[in-house]
Amino acid sequence: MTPENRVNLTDLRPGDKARLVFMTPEVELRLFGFGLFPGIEIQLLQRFPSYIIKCEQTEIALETSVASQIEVETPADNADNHG
Amino acid sequence: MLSLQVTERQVVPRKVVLVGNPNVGKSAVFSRLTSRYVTISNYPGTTVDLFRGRMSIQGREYEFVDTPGIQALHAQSEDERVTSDVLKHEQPDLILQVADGKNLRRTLLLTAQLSKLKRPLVLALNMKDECDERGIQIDTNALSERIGVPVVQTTAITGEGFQDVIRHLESRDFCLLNGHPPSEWVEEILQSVRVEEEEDDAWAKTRTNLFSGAVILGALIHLENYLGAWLGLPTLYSLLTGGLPAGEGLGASAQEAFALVCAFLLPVLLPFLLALRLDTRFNDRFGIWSRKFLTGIPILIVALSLVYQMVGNLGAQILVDILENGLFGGYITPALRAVVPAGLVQDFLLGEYGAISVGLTYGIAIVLPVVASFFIAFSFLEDSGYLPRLAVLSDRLFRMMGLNGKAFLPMILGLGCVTMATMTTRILNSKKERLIATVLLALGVPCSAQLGVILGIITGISPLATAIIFGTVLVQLFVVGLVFSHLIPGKRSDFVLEIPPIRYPQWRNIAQKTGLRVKWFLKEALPLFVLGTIILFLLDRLSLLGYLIAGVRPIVTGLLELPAKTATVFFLGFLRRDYGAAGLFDMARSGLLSTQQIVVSLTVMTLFVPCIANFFIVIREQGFRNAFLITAFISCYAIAVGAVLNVAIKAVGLAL
Repeated sequence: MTPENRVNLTDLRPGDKARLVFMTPEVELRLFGFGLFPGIEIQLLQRFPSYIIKCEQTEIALETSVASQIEVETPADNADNHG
Repeated sequence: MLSLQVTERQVVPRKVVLVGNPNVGKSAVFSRLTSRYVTISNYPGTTVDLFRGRMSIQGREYEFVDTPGIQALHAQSEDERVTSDVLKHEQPDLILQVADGKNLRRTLLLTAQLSKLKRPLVLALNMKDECDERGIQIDTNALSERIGVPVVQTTAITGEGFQDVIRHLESRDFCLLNGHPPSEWVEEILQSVRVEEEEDDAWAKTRTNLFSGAVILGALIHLENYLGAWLGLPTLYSLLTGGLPAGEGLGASAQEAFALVCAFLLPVLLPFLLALRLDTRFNDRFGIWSRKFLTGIPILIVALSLVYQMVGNLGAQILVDILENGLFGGYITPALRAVVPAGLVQDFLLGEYGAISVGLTYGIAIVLPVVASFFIAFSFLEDSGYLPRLAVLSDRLFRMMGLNGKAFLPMILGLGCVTMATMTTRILNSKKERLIATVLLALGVPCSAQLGVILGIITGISPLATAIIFGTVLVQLFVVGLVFSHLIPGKRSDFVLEIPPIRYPQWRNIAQKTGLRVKWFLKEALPLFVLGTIILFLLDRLSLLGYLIAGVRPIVTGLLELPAKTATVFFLGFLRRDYGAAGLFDMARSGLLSTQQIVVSLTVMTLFVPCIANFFIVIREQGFRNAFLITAFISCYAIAVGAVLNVAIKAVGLAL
């Protein structure tokens, strides 16, 4: 995993899968309860009107200001997941 | 008040507290264990208060406590605080953690936190049916060994696995997680999670496409029934109503109902229900469509129009006609008139302000059919999982009003009953949001009965007049929200909401829920209807009503230019807003109101003060000072908006 792969959640495209690596302390406590914590796999499903991510079998809607406080690591083969 | 004791004995029962993430089925499990029905829906935040039930199982006494869902032990909203208080102060003998088996990691995060409480714990992984559907297999024995407490898999809606739950109710085991969140070993527990997409199954794809096509076609037929009527094109509805021989009286109502169901309801509902039932891939697809903007808006339009057909036409027109003119007008009133001698008693029961001719007739013949048909439609929406998707679509709008999309849930619940919805504002995360939502609910969200009666009135007036009424109310909600968001100190919270899967609703649950709500209406609202009528009757007899009407005459006839009788209707509106609306309905039908007066009076009635029940709930949730300020503000504001609207319509010279 190279450092270039580390991006903001808002930089992903719908369908992209990624590993959550960092959340700012501001949103950490709230998102923790939804099962979001560093190390888990997530998938971005939609960007508008709200961001929606999938984590395990849960779909979670987030507004932009929350999504922008989440950093993820994308695997190299993400291009395969679009569809 | 909310506790109900199923059996009563002098033994100290073992206290079992049901805890878990939102929308995992705690209430369904509770209902199974206690044989007591509590409202179950498919969105987070259905339960905002505690429910208790005692039950004797295999000779042992238990007290079960159903709690609002929590994300973590540390409470972030009022409803979560209710749960964390119970855990802290009530010393449960057993914590029964109910969880969604599909989300094991998230479940164990909460388990780890609960383990810090040092109470015996049992973990029930609910929704086994959905796990099976998705090929998620959980090694419960391995998990149980790992965390040190019994783990069972359940399906609350069918009762699967409950023998195991009951077997472990006496468990004294403590959780070994000790606050440590789960790690890599979760992978071992989760066996053979099937890959999500089975690309190769061509038939399954075709089937989903066929179902989708049928639903879209049905929606188009549904919409064509409207457009065709405006454009003068042939429609299914006109074919059905034109092709049938003309009926009379109740026969005509039945025919109308038949045409309505065939033309508007069946084309969409039938394929949609079949698809939901038979094809889980369709459910997922519909779930995606309804939360995206481009597809979500058309779906919303069709859904609204279906509810309108069901409540506004089938309920408010046809059923009301059958009950009011058929049952009351045709049998009850004439029969009583024949029995009761003319005079004071007859006036009391059957006169202008008669307890039966007005109070009961309004309640049972006008409002009840509307409420019942609305509750059926609404329960369906609740259980399908559609509502949280509307929260996603409306988030940006709500953010401008100092709220976020989560506030959509109490707002839409307000259409069911503003009083209940005011309690649901507890799911909002900040004090500021709760206050704004409470004001908006009291100001402009009509309750189902009122809405239905309004729909009943406006089917008789032009689309333009309808648009003015709803437009004014929505704009007022928006403006007041916008202003309050700047006036009230504090911050709105960020929008984070779990979106449950789309599910085929359980008919039994819809029937139970509707029954419960209708019963509640009969118990809470009907006595107020009769009481209000009796007060009016007494005021009338004591010749005080004239003074009262004269007192508010400058406002009602002067400012709003409405008939003086409207004053009594507004008074009834304070007891129950739907009762007031029913009064307007009656006046409009009798030709006492011009179209402009209908528009003005309906707008004022919708914005007008909350009913008494809501007033008391606002006091409970917000304190007396806030409740008083809210009511004072809304009264003045509603009248001001009505006056401005009246002047504006005249000034522009709109032909309604």
